[in-house]
Amino acid sequence: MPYYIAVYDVNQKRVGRMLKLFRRYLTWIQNSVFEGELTHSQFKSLETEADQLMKDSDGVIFYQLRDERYVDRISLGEEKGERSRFL
Amino acid sequence: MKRPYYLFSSGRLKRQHNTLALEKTSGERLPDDSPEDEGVPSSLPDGGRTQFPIESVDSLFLFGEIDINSKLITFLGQQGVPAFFFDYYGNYSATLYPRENLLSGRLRIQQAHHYLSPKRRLTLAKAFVEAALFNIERVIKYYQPRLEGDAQQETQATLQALVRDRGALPLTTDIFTLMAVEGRIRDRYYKLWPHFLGKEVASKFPMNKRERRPPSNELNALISFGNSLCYSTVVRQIYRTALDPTIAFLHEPGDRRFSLSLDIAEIFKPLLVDRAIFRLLKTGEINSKHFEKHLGGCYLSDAGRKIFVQHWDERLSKTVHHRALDKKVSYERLIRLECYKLIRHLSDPAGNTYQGLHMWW
Repeated sequence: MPYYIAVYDVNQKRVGRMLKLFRRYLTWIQNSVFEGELTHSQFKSLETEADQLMKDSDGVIFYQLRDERYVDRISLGEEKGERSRFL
Repeated sequence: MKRPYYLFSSGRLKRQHNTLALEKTSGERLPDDSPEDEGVPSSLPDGGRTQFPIESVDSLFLFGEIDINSKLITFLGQQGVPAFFFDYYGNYSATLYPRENLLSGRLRIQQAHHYLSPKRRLTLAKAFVEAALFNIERVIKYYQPRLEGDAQQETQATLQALVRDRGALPLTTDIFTLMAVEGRIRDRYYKLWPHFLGKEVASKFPMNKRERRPPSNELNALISFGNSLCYSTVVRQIYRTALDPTIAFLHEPGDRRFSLSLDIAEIFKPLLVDRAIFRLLKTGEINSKHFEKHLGGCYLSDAGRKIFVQHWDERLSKTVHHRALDKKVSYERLIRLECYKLIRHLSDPAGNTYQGLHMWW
């Protein structure tokens, strides 16, 4: 299952809408940074929806990893988001 | 891939920005049947908010005291996410079942037809018991070579007794006798548990007798909790097929419960629940401090439940190689395949006689 790290840099006017969109699909990690597993079709619909929101000089980048196993996570300081499924 | 989420905290679960948010509380929780309970939240949300992506949620397991509102119910319904509720003591209490979207009138009629005809019903009920028996034997045979002396002999004797029970299965002519045979099989099997657990563990956790409502000791508490998890997992898989969860064959299709999941769970309990219990006790992951006594019963503590559920989640995603499909299949997927086999039988009993899953690994 592909694992994604997504970052965006959009105009302040659209940042709220982008945040809400990404929260539906991925786990919030830090401001404008998300990660999580998505199926191919989930990724496509997220991509389409994000594309429709974007204007002017907005940018979104997805880093795709083949599986979560390939992620080595090194984190410094406070973890802001909750990534567990055991809440 | 969508995966289950397990909420142990108390608080309010809500729909927020078209996704899910859990507002946690830090307050102490009252038993669900406590007379002081006025139906209002025990405490206000003050422990921070966690949002999680709806697209990644397969199902919700709610172990804490969670407030929900109708907006959330509508939202979960739209997203096809069932929520399973467990009471203060960890017993399965209810399912919030989204509107059926995979309906098949033809199949439902077949299912009812198979229930109404005593002969057809018995065929299916026997298949469930037979498969449960086979898997129980499989678990016993796994442990048998590791045993010594008396335990070895006792196990051998039980296996022989189980062969006789197997012989009795085709002769049963009604559901009641079948249930009696099934009860006998389980009794014999539970008697061997102290041997499987080993002397040290068995002395701490004696297995006297299977007792429910309330579970009388630690092992009974574990079995009850494991079985609740197993039922809800099966319900989730049935929901993904067109089967009607209320029409069962071995169990009476009672009201207010999904009897079919009880039937199918029979097959999976030895391989999922029982082995999980052995594993957790033998490794000491769960020990005496994870149990609490309440009102004459024994229950897993919150910490104990969390350990069990985490192990359960891992276990369900374990895979085995499936010979017929020639690919790896997770334990959870095996449950769904079982539903499909049942559907095939219901549609064409002559061509695809149902045979319950026999562990091959």
